[in-house]
Amino acid sequence: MDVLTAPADYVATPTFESFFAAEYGRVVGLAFVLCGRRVVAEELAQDAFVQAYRRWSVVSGYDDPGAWVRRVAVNLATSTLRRRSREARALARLAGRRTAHAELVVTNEAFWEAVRRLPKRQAQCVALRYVEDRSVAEVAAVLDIAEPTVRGYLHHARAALAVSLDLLLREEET
Amino acid sequence: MSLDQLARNAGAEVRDQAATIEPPAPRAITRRSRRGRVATGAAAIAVLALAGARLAVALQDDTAPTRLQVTDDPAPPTTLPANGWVASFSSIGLERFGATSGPEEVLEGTGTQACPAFSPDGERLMFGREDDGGDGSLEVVSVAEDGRAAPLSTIPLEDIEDSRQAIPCAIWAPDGRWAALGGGGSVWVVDTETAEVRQLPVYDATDLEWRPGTDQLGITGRAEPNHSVGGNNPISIYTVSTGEIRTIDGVEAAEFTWSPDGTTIAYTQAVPEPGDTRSGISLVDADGTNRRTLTTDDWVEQGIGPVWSPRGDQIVYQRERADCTDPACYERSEVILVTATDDDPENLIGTERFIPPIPNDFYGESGLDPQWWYANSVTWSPDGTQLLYSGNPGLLRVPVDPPRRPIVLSGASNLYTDYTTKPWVALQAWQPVP
Repeated sequence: MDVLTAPADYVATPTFESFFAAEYGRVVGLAFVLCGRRVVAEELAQDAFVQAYRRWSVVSGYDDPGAWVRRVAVNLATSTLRRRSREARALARLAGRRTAHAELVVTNEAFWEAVRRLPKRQAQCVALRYVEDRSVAEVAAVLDIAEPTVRGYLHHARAALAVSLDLLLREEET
Repeated sequence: MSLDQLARNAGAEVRDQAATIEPPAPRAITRRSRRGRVATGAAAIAVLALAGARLAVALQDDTAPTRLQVTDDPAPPTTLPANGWVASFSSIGLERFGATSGPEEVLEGTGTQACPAFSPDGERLMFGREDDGGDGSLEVVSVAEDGRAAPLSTIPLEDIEDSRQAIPCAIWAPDGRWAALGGGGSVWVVDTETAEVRQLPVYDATDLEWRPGTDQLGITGRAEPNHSVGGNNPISIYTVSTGEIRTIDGVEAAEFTWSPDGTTIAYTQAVPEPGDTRSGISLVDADGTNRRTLTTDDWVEQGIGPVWSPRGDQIVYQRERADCTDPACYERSEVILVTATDDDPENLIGTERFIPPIPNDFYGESGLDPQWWYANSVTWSPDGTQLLYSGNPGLLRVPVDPPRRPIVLSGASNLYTDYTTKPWVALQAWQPVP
């Protein structure tokens, strides 16, 4: 009787549970810098994972399911309308809790505030580039846009951040 | 501390804390999924009702965009230049729509050329090349009727490199001699016959376009190093023959386009919130007077636009699809055609028609989502009957007058690499044939 064995390059399809456990915190971090509050970021991240769960048979077959769920999360986080609805929902849920939800502590809040004022695509590129320490090619893959497009967004973002952060520093000095 | 260092530190700080966040139990997700399905069903009913209401409004409201009806009718006759080769990026190839063979290669590609632009007489092609050490150059070649190209001149541009790349992306002046480009933090005006290079005191051009029939270059860009009003900047006019620069009083714009008769500028403004958004299109006479509104709705920017048609009767621009509800549907952009005739200058509101996003069979075969054509830029054919989409993974011809089915230019790649910072580049990619 032949014994079936997996080929050497076989990669098992991850379970949703293991994918969720491995990626959740990082997706929350990504959403956090784009929306500014951990409770909202968790709401956004969970919505993104809900979407991944619903189509897991397809998403799990992608080369990088994590890229897909990040794309959904950053799009949710930078959509004003969608973000506001999540904020309202998150705050409503928070109101029923006895203990406050621990915020992420950031010493560079001015930087992230400036990032959040950027056009959405620029903000997404900055978040993926620096929070996740991704290359331009990886950012392009996550957002499903061309690498030169990412470079353009990052260029505009850096220019705008340089201006706005310089202004902030001057205000603090005075 | 440099901006890059600050960003890296800020990112590392968040990354470290994010790694410690404990996920909720997976059943929290599965429960939300079930709740969501119920809500989605209710929402779907609401959306259908809303769509019906919007359709009813659209049928009654002349200002609402109307969908183009695609037919297979032949194109009407035109007195404008006809359409010849289309130049593509990446080894600078020349191709014709409908051709069964591959592209005519103008220059063997090394991956450092980009931004092909046909001269107004259609006889020369200019493109940019990245050289070593942060320098770049403009290459000009002649183009024969059969597509064969021969080198004419090389114009070096020192220190053109900016933080992105050193590939110069230039457009021809109407005289077919001068060219203009933005890069390296300034605007460059180049005489392609003598290789004279002028650098203008305008910083970081966000848009460039020559005024038809003149030696005047329109520029949106910062007039001083730190000038920026929410992404809007003054429109300056540089005259090559006199060297003068004047600014159009009271107009701040993000992008603009000239009418073919050179009398009018159509422009959009950046809207600070929620970002990436552009105002409706406004018109202003070239001397800065007679400002009026062409369209009123804000829209989310997607690539190049607005671009005035060679016939003068329409303006095209791209915007993010208005009904984009799928979180993965960004860049599923639609293209809007706006009537731009001055029939009623006292109450000028353009009528809009829209071309919906075009499915992309290449993506469809891969099974990836989204499966739509990414049009990074849209501009006109020389005869004004068709649109040229440049995107991923190639070029698309979309007949609009009358509307017919889109045609893919086989084997082509994008026109250029950096459309977000050089939106003028696609304007001259299609060869005019006298």
